[in-house]
Amino acid sequence: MTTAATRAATRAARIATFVGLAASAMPAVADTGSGGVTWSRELAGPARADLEHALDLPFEDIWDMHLPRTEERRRVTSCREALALPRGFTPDDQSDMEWYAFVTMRVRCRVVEQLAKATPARTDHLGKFTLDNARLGELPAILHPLAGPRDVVARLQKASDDGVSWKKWDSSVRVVPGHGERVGVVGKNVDCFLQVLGRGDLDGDGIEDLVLLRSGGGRRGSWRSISAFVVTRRGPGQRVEVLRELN
Amino acid sequence: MTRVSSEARVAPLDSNCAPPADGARVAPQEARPAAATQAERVALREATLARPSAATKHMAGSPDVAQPSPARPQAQHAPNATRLATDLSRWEGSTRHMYVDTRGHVTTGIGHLLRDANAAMALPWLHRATGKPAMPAEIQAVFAHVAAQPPGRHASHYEHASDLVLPPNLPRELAAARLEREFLPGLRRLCPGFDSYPQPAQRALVDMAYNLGVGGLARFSKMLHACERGDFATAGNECHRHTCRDDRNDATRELFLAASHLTNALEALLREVRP
Repeated sequence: MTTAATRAATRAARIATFVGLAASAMPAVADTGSGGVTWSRELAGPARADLEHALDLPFEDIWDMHLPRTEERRRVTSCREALALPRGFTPDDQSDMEWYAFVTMRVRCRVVEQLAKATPARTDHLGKFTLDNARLGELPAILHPLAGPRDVVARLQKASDDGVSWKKWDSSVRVVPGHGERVGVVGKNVDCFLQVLGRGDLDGDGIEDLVLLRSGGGRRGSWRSISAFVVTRRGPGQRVEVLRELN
Repeated sequence: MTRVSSEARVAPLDSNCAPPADGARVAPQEARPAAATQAERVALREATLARPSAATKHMAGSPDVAQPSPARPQAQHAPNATRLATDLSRWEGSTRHMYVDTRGHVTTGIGHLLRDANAAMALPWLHRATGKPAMPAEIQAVFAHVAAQPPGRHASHYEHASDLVLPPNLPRELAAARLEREFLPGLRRLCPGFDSYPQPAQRALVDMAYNLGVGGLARFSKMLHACERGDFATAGNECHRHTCRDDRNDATRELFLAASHLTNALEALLREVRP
């Protein structure tokens, strides 16, 4: 194979990897990258520089966006452009299906951006962090997808701040098998999936953090909630807490 | 705040509205103007002339806010599920091919979930290029292929994943059937007066029910109570969905406000003609 062809094949493989086409061949948990920061191969190749590079890789699908108030138009072809897009821009195809696809892409870009800045942690209190039923008793309630109304969302936020776990908030939730790196979480009113997208020290305190993608919604309606959560455990035996929500 | 009791829904604001069973009574007047305001007259004229309101202009291909009604008998009409399904396609999108939604489930039409290959095989898929019906084995193979795709991709990605499509009108028919079977009965359980609500309020509630599920909608108790009181302005303030796009939330609120204006306009007009 010529050098040019090799380069083209590598680029195509990176694009395919980034957009998740190779998901079925992925390991069940985030793979180990170099330097103590780890990430899913759905996000970028194995080298640390691949994370930064992934921000500039062209998307397979181009997003034509507009700002409804002013009709300003933008074309988004990479993570860098997606992350620079001011809030309020929406895909030209205004269906929720396209909107959720855009949000999923933007959340993944934000995770890549954060992981590219992450450093190796000095201390890890999270351990292997397998996504199983026991973990639902540790993860904060705020991971429970909720569409509203405002007072119920506020109650969920308060419960989560008070240390209530997802399982305690909704005892019906349980983990079910998913595809590739994803595990399903279903409950009486919940149908979503979880996926570990990366690990490392994302906030500079020397303690291992973990990035968890949660995508899904209710069992019956069409609503979806797509967010990545940076979670950590500050010491042995302490509760798992959400440091930041990336959406 | 201007409030309208359920008894105040004295006449159909459009063809879908019914009069109350106990005759025409108007709620207490303290907070209301003595006569119709210009805005209320405009809202009423829009209703009676069946012209789209500002809220309905968001709904591509949607029916008008109301149908000509003044001379019609005051019979109770069920909402038109096919028209409501057309409304839904504006927000939910409508596809004729299979795709993987953001939960990882194979879906088609207007958010029509295909739980497994059997559910897919129950639909009359056609080959896009030839228009010929697909064989069960072909449908099964396409379902497996699409199910293996990553979730939450651009719609065009899934369109290229297979050449099977549904007949053009089927997505809307599937959505209409689901509205009839699941959502409208659910809405009537949650809101006993649903069939007598102004059409914009019905449309707002159908949109929310489809989006949240009837069980999810039941959590919006303040909004539902406001609807039952005929207080659609308050309903508009209580309809905010946490996970919803701003423009969809805004459009729902505008529909409730349109319902409120219609109710107020009608009441004001009745006060003028019935001293």
